[in-house]
Amino acid sequence: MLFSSTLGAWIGALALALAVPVIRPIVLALGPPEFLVLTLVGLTFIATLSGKSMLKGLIMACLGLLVSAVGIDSQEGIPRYAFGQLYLWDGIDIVPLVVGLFGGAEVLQIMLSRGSIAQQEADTGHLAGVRQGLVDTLRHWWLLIRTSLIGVGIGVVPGMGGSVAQWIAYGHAQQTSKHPEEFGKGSIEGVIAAGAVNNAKSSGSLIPVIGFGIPGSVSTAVLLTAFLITGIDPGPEMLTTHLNVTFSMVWVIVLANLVAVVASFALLKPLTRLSFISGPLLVPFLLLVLTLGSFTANNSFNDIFVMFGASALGVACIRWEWPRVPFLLGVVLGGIAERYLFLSYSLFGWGWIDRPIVLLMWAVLASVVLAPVLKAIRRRRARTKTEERV
Amino acid sequence: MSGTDTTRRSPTDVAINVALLLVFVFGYLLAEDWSLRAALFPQIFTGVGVGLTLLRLLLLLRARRRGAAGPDVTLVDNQAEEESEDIEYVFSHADGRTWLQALAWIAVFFVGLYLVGLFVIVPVFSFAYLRAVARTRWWAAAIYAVTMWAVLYLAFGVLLRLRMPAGIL
Repeated sequence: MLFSSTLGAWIGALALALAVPVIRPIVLALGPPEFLVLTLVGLTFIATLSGKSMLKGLIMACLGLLVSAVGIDSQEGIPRYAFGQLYLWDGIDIVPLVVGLFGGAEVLQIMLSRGSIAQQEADTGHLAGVRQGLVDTLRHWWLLIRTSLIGVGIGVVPGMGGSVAQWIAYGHAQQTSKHPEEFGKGSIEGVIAAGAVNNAKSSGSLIPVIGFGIPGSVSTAVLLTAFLITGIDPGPEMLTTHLNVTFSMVWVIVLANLVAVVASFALLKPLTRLSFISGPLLVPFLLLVLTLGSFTANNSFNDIFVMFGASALGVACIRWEWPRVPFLLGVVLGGIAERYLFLSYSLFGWGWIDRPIVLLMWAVLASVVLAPVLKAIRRRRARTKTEERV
Repeated sequence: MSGTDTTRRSPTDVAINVALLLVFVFGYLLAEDWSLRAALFPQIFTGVGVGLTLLRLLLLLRARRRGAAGPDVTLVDNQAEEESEDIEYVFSHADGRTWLQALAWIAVFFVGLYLVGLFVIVPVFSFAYLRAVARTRWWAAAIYAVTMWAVLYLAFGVLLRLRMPAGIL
């Protein structure tokens, strides 16, 4: 599994490097109106796919956009939603927001359950099987390449989760296997497919972030935020002036996976024991990390209040099943979308709305929203017909 | 692909929806006072937010009246990085007393942080929490508290040179 994951990541990194010359002319041909609608398409993808309810996802995305509007308006210098608070003039920092939204909820879960993170001893296997694992992976090299490419392809689509990619790769491996009857009983081909697709997907998900500034998941949203904080603007810049950063990321993927596989072999057993530490023993340390993580963003106590509020929101979202990811993406993408809106308006007036590529993207956006609605209507009609027959 | 959203007919869900509707309406009305360029973007998405929350509210109320399954288009398999079943289960099944205790401990930590700062509250909170909740022996809790303070001071303060939140007292 470790070897197939690592080799899958390397194939994904190669695909990312090869994708640069392909997407560069496309990205450079697009203008602010196209990027604006692309941003909205990405946000809608995540909103519709990241939870159980599409409407809830879209509402949370709007809430995220509302939070992103807090602070001094870059066009006119008007403080928006600041309520006279000087701290809010700079906007709400993303770091305490992410720390609270995701970390705060996890700490509260540990406090409520009072158990350890893992309940049962996992079989970490014998390290003697390392060589066999490598041999098996290389013996199925063609399957490894195919499933890795499936991972890259699925990773490119925002909102497509790890489970979707793994099931598709697993299904493909079963369909093409000479021994499909072994699947579900520890088939090595199934293990290789699932391992390879998992890491290759991560490399694929970087392509829309680098090329178009559209994150497809929480991790890529945080990465996008890190780019923006350090002054790197995803999109054309990543493929022209900051091309070195893009290729650095390819090498980081290659080296990080190499380090990860070595560290996993060396530390697998002791690290698994960490998950059996009693929850209450971890709570003071986790609270310390949460506090420092949010405070050090701006050395401001107000960031701790933001983290506190975000934790409450995160817990409420989980308790009443409202998705958090569209909210976070709304916050991250809000500033970018507004900038593209004003660039589009300044360059083309309202004529930007019906540019040919923009129209095509509106159609994609409409299909993203309407497809699940039509599917639900069809399902409801079929159910009604079945009930009438009964 | 379809699934059920267990909370969607609950009064709490209606209340959350109403609260969000009010937030969007408030956001829209506040933006009325700004110039067109400053108000355009907030008014677009708060307007969309008002529309979406109203739509969901209407569908919720209609579903409640009919006693039907609910209004939402449900998508289950695609929860890429959403919460696991474990965390959902813990939040929905923890009893009131456990919730109250956990929130009280969090309040103690953050009020203490605000009053006396991180250097004081971390060892004090660690000792008290381990004694009261983890039922650790007093000497073990004391060692943990001192270690936490040392980690905070040496790793974060001396090595990383991070500024620590100081209390108001």
